Amino acid sequence: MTEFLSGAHILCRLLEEQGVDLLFGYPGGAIMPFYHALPESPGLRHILVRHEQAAAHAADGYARASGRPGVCVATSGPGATNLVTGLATAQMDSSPVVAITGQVPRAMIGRDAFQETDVIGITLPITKHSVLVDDITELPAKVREAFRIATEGRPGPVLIDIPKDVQNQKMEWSEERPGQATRPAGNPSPGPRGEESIRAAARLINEARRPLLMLGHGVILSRAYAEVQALADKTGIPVITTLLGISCFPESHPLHLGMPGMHGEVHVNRAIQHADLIIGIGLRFDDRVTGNTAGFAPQARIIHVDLDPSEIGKNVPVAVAIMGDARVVTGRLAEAVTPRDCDDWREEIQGFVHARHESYRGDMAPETILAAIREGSGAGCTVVADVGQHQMWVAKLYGYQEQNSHISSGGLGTMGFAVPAAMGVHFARPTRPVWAISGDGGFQMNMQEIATMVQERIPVKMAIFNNGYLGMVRQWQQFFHGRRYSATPIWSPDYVKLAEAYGIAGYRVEHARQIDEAVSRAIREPGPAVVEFMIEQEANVFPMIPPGGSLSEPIESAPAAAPVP
Amino acid sequence: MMPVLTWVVSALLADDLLALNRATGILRRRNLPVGAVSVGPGGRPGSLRLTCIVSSDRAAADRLASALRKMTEVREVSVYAEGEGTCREHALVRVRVSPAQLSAILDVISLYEATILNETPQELLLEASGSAPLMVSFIRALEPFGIFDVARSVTPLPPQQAPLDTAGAPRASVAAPRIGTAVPA
Repeated sequence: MTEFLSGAHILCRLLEEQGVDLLFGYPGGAIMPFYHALPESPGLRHILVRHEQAAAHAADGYARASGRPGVCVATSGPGATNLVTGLATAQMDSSPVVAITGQVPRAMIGRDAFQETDVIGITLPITKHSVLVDDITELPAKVREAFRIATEGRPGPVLIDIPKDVQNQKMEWSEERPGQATRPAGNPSPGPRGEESIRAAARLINEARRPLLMLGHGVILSRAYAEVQALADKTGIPVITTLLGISCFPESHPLHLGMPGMHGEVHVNRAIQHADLIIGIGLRFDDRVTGNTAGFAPQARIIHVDLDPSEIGKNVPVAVAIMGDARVVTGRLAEAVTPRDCDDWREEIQGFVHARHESYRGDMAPETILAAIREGSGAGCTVVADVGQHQMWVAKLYGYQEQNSHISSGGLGTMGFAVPAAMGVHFARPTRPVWAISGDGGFQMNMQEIATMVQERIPVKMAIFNNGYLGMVRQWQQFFHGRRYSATPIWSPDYVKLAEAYGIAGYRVEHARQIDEAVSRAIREPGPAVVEFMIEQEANVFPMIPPGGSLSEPIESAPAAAPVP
Repeated sequence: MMPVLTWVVSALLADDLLALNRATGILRRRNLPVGAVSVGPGGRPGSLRLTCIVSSDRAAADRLASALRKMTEVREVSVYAEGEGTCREHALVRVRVSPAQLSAILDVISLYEATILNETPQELLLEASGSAPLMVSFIRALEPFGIFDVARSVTPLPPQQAPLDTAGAPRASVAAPRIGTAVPA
């Protein structure tokens, strides 16, 4: 049947065609035609956030948890600019977010019209792609292209800017000839050159005496869980998971070592420094992983598996590069290597293990809190960590077993990410528990989203690690800036009363004996709940590689006399 | 440490200002020492050729090419050492002139096969083209007379090119117009 529809109506049809059933957004002047059409598409559920940044983070959380593109919507001007942090977060962590923004009418573009911003220009460096729809006739192709680009290859955010008059334009639309829903391209075969590289990599793996597997976010993006485990099991190679690779490999597995890098465990970093071969799969050797690259893994040759050719050799020199999907390549590698074990090497690494030095006033240790959350929530729980000290504790101490159950802002390090992203995770996994774990700084950046959770009945549990400081910055000030705590003490409202004001349950935990009870009561709540944990004010995250230092130079205790820069 | 040389990174991209904006944004973000950028029709209908000259090691030039290839509007990217392709500079120089120096300036013009585009009793506007060292030499030869203004641009051509489909493209567009930097004398 052929209909004569507006651009806004056609946009709704296109979103349905692409399999979208959920949008996070906030209406405004330039996107009103779309919101006018939206109720006529009951298959599109809209979640009204309280700030557009939260819409982008929620779409990102949804995308990471579901593997499908997350969609956010905003108006022109401030609505669009508020998306920026969320889009940059998605870009840095390769998350397929599609952002739809209204724009002033075409005739007004370039005239500094009310709520006009050049959002395409603003977001050029922080999106995988962006398009301005100049005419309604371009709308179907550009929307389909946006979804294809967002999901194809290395995923990333795409922005579609649609002038208001294009949303109001009309054209014929035929339901009988809908376009194909965009699906990510199948896993590409490595090709002849890839096969040659796989054989070269297998030879290096067979010959190595001290090999390590370093697994990154690409393993989760390509769902290569079984393949990396097969490779590890067949070779006995110890496994390291980067911050965004956490939960791609069960931490109870005897080959799992932990997280590398700036706050990685000492034995993990020492293993890297002693390794003669590193097989990096789906990671980009970020500076938080390598420390000073000049001193990174000095004895190791590196095999780098990545879908994105621009990552190969970007940060570290590579002996063998295999460009391709982590799942396909790792599967082929697992077939090509000779069965072996690395028992001597694993024993050597065990000799590197240090007892932890952290001490906490009272008994509110992060381990205790995280163990209560893990045991109380059971299998299937997803933890969305914010950014800061608690993020490192969550990364290192939670003990992830479930695939893709740890979500955090890694590349951009976006404080305020956890609460809205957890909303998106809930919609991707509606029957499974979701915790947003934040510090008192990050929580206050997006705590307005409690209202969204209440209105939309989103039962995310929120944990706040409250130490009265912007803890990670304070730690750097303690270690590297003469203990001058400039602008890091942070006041918080009474979170229990705040929760009550929103009509939800809130708990404050000041002693370890209260942890289990508070956590289990929060979990039993049918809706969202807040649990505030009053932790040690000046607790530090150890070990720590100083900025610019190599992985061989960990700080394992607070400096006795803090240096003054 | 890989040797630092001069590389030409040449990208054929969609003839679209947004694509050009995106590509130049990549140049900026990669933080490489870009010596020259030129933009012009790419010889195929609907395409632009963006060429930049960077002084770096080969790996850095390759990383820039990889980043450009990720753009959906980019059709092809090539990297080659400056000497491998053909590279020509175009220079416009406004130089002071006096009756006493006219003969000497005309000698320079003749030596470098320059052209006088405009003349007044006080100044000449000269045009010359050739290799980069030749243009540097040309400008130095004029410096004693007093240079008011200089504009230079670079047009590189990759060493090997597939036959261009120039159907629909104006003949003049194959020789790309150039964007250069005006350098006050």
